[in-house]
Amino acid sequence: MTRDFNGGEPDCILRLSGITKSFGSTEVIKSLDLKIDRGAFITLLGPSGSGKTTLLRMIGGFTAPDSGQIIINGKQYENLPPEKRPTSMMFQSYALFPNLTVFENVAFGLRVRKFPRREIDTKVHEMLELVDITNLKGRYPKQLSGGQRQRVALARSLVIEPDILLLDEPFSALDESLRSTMQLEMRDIQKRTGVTTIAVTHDQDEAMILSDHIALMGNGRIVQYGIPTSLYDFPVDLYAAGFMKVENILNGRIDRVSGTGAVFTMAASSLSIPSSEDDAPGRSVAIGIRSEEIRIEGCSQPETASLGENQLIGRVAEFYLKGENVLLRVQTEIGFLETRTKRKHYNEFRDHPVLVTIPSESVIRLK
Amino acid sequence: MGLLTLAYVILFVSSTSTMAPGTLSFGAPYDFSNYARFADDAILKGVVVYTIVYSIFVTAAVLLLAFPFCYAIVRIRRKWLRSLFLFVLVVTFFSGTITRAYSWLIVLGKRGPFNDLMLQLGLIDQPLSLIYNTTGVTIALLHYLFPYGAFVLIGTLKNLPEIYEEAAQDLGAGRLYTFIRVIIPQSLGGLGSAWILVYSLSLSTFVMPLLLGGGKVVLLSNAVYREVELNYDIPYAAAVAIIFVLASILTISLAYLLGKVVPRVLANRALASRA
Repeated sequence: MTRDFNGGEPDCILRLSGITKSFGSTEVIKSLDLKIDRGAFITLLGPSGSGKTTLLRMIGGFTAPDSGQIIINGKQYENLPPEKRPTSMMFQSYALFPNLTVFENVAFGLRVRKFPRREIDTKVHEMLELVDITNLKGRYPKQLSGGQRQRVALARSLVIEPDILLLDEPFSALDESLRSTMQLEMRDIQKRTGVTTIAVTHDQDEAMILSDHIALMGNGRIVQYGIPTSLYDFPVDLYAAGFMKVENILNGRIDRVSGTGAVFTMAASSLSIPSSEDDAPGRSVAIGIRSEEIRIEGCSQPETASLGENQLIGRVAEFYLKGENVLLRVQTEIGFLETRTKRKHYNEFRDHPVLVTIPSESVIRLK
Repeated sequence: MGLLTLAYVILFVSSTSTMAPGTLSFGAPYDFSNYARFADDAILKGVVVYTIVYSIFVTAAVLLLAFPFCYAIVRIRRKWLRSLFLFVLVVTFFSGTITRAYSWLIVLGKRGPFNDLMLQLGLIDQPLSLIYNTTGVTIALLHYLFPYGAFVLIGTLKNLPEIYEEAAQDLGAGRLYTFIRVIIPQSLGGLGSAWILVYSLSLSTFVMPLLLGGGKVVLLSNAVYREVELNYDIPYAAAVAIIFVLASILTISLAYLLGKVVPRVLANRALASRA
């Protein structure tokens, strides 16, 4: 293919347009578009069934899209098999060839490309050093631990210098203690080699640690795309808020709009919230509030307390200890609210009624 | 199991007995003279060696043909196509050996459909002599042994996770490279089992050489049969049979050991060169 599809976007290493995919009667991907810049670390985040793994496999060439284009470095690849693509996949189970040693596994891609023996030797040793497994080069996969296998798989994919590295749930097979170490190492290796990486995961924290951008997927579409903090602080809709674990979601109506914001009503209570376009009196809206944004303090005389803007009286219904924090489920006139506070602080007002404050700027508008 | 052992015991005892001349019975004296006789029997010794070598070639041919065929079957995506292939394979089992042998006689005969087609296509000037000789026996035997090998190999290949092929492709390997470097090394176990099965069947084959050989193709089972039917020397036949059983066990064990030792040797060599 000699046609250049990038036209003026030299940094765009991957462009997906109009991708659709169905398996039988199930629509797994519904008209998806995505652009990724060179050197970025992107995560496709979502629950099982969101289509993220299917999308990854389509980029790698293991599944063909029903329609749409996959353009890598300006060339079209949607009709080409994996061996002709400048991508490399690290599979969830690592798929190390059991009959080959670590060295031979890593050398595989270079041998296929008929690199001279000396060059293979150099490159493989360099890569083994990068992922820190030089001492394992003569071992067989079945003699390695999960973490070691992962490094071999990574080395094997990186040594052929792919344009795009694809990671399929890279840390799901590791136990918790190993996970955080490997995540940071992976990030470090990615930065050092500068390889564009697309990872798939269902773990929100993992996505936040690793990525430059996150594509939150749901029902075959990209629900939200942005830097990790924008997904965390400003999820766009109910689905995104739910997935990003916004604890409090409230449904109500707009009462009135003013210059500074809007007034949200629900069950005879009102809250000041940030205004949004299309706000009109009577309109149904949903809002989200993170537990850590809700302020809580003891209230010794709830009947006579003077309530400011966005303040409610409540009663602690349940509490859970979590490290130095206490998670609280507070009953208020707008329903149960989840909030949290330091344990020391909680001890000051436990068993008392509480005063809950919801800062209006912390309210998240959801579509 | 017990019955089988008993049969072998009887066979062994018979082999040590002697034929009473001019009669149809055999009994004392019991000695190993039949075995000694075999040692001097050039013809029968030749038959033993021929059967073993011939079976090696036939088994190799069957596996060479069956392996890619089975790989294709397990990788076919269209369910109906795969079922069709499997059906064809299974159906050959339903026709007995004798029916198949006679069918080949008809198909491969001088005036049969195969020669007709070749003549019509102008590929040959005269009909080929494909039956009542080793060629005919080999064709029929290959056809007979193929499903046995295929079923064992399909069993092995079906259990080979596709992910290794995907990984190989991902790293740039085409189908052929993947087949040689990834599929075959991981199927050695299945190939070994298939070998043992097909080889054993080939060693003991009786009907194919008998019906398609025109009396010219004599494998061990045919030779033993002749000793019994024509010479009516049951003790001698028994001795030859026992010798053959031992020879077969020997060669099969060799194949088994090779299957275990060779991968180990290759692995050690690989380790040594990388250490």
